[in-house]
Amino acid sequence: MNKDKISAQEVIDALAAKADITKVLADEFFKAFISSIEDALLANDVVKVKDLGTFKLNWIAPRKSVNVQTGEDIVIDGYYKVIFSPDKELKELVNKPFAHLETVVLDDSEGDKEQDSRPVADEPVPLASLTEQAVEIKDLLSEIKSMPSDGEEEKQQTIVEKKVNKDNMSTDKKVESKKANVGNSDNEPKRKGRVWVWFLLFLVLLFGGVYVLYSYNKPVRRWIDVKVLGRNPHSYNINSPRVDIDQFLSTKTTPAASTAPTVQAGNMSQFEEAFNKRFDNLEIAAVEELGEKSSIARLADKYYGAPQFWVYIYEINKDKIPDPDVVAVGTEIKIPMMDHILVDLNSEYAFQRADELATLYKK
Amino acid sequence: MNHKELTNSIAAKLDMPKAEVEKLLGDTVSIFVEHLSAGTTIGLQGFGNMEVKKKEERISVHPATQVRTLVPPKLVVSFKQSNILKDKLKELPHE
Repeated sequence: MNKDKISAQEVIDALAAKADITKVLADEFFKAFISSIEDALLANDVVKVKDLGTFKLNWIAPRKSVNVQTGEDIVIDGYYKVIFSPDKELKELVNKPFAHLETVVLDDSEGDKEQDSRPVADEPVPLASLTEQAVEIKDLLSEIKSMPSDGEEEKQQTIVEKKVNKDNMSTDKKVESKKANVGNSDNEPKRKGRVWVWFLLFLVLLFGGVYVLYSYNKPVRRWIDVKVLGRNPHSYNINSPRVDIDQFLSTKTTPAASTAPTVQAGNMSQFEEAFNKRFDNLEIAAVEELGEKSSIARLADKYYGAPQFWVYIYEINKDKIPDPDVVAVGTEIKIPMMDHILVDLNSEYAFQRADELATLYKK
Repeated sequence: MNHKELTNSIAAKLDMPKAEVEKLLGDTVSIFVEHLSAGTTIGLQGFGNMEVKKKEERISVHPATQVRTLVPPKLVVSFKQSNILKDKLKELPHE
């Protein structure tokens, strides 16, 4: 492109040649032309030149600035600026080298917008989809807000049971961090697809966490089995990968007790009977050497399904255990075979009696 | 001031018939257009410069719909007044 500059003189020469007039005349004419425009502008008028464009004045308001050398505040006075807006024809002529270019609507990840040189035309459609997205995001957020409380509860439960599972903890943490990510990406309403991916990930992690809890934490598993799956509380022990408790329970169990363990009132007398007879025909199911991290409560948990039943183990091993709170490592603990009713996990009465015994022994 | 008034003004200054002024004016404008479309700057002493500037391509975002649009580069004619004209305009009272 020829970027040379031509002066007024050259224009005058060209005009003289073109109109076939003397240079003097051309010069006069040109000066009259410019001064006419100038005069009109000085009268604050708009000057329209056919096929060329429009000259007009634009008031530039005074503004504050800072003297870069001294740091002083200075005010730049307002002034008139001549602006020139070219005629449509001239505009098109000048822009000829780039005339083939068109404005392009940039595709986003959704990519369903066709290329359009007038983006204003398809205005209502994105607006509608935007509000849809907003509603979806709102729903997502409320779901996410309701979820963390469950996770917290489970976490606390594990702490209470002092069976903190490391996998478990890390999963919970991951879940929380994912949650944070979901929150962040909500700031960009257009990343609809991504939000869904995060949401699915979050769900997968949540269920993973619940599954880990389920398989490693006995109280949680019991709760889920009984409340959620509606399983017979006695049968879960059979599925349990660890110790089959029923094999340690006495065969003396009455059939009524095992089939209807939840009926407490009717079992009360049976319980008392079994309770009083618990030292009769006592059989030892197993003998365990107490490890460093073990306790009789843990053994009770392992064999009877609940730590509260340690009292029965203590009763048998009284001679070796002076204080139920402090048991020497390496002590051989006999595990008695208990009547089913006495260690019924569903019977509050069984727990109550065990607690009574416990307070008795702990004195 | 429209084209006709401009012609009248020039004709009055030069004491020339309007038809001739009209023709000369047309020629002048065509010379301007010719040079500008070739990308040449026209420097008019005491008045200002008319030049062709390139506006770079840019991405514009529709504030309501967030639709991003690539606006291609283009060439525009710009006029920059000379300091002489600017000083003259300073004497013009504002409003």
